[in-house]
Amino acid sequence: MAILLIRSIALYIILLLAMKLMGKRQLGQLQPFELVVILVISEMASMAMQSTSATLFSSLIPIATITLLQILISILNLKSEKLRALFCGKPVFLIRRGVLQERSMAQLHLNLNDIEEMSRAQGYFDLSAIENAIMETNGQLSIMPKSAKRPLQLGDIEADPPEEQMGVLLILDGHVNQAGLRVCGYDEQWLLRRLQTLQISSPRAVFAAGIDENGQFFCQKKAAGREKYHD
Amino acid sequence: MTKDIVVIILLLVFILIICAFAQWFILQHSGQMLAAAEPVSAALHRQDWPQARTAMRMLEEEWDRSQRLWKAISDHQDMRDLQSSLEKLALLLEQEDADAAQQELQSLVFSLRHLQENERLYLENIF
Repeated sequence: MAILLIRSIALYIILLLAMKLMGKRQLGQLQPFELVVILVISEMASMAMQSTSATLFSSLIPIATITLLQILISILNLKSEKLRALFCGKPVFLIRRGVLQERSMAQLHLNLNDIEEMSRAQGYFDLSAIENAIMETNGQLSIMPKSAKRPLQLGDIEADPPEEQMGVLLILDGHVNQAGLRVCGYDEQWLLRRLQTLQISSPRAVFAAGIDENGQFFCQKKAAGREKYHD
Repeated sequence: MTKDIVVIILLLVFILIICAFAQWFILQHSGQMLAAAEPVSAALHRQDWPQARTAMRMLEEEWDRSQRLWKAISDHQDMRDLQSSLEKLALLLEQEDADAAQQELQSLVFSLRHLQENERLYLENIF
């Protein structure tokens, strides 16, 4: 049993390392091939975890090899458009200028029901409202609606909204986020002064504080207080 | 980017070297065990029990020298079979049971040959 425990810990670390090295893509953004690679790696790891008769070495070598090949292919994909097309395929028009592309649908083994389903998932219940629909290489459908059917945007009414900035948390559960302070161009002294104006003596008394998208400072004290201060 | 590619290729070469070493180790040591099993077989044919036991000790020494690394790179079940076969054979030589010892020795030789064959780069092993 102790062997199983140690093997599980070792494989967990190996898997963690392999997944970290392979990049941070979300499951829904994976290319079909990448998904298969992840499934193969997880299968090899689970086999080695369950069976003590197979050596760890016999799982480690394939996991390391597949991980390294996958990273190599990802780098080559970044470097070469041709290789990217070869390994990941190319985006395909399913609807072009409002016309369904029968040949592309046949190539991708999709019928009209599939396209209607995917369009509905994107919020388009009428295919005639779509100007262009593109099947991306990760299997997601990108839709560009016809001009008359697309949602109103601020630019259409010539409004000039103020620029928004990225909100940054500067204190997380009592801990000062130094990197966040640097991003905002402030230092810890500035933060302490802001807290003092709110009669808070230490960042440790703060649950969350930061700069919101409008550039305003906000602060929420820990549990007992639950007060929220805002500029 | 080019540096990353070089690092990955070096790591793949490192894996290749480890695999080549593991293969060499198994072929080398199974060959040495097979060679060490021959004097046991010859002594058994002559029913020369002291000589058979001496040859058996050499075979066990050969196993002791290589077993730790061998167990780390070969299937554990195969290694258990090999170990059990060696222990049975030593016991049968102590009991001077010629037929059973001959049978066990054949089984040991078969296991060693099987391990050797599994490691060889033949198309039938790949597919």
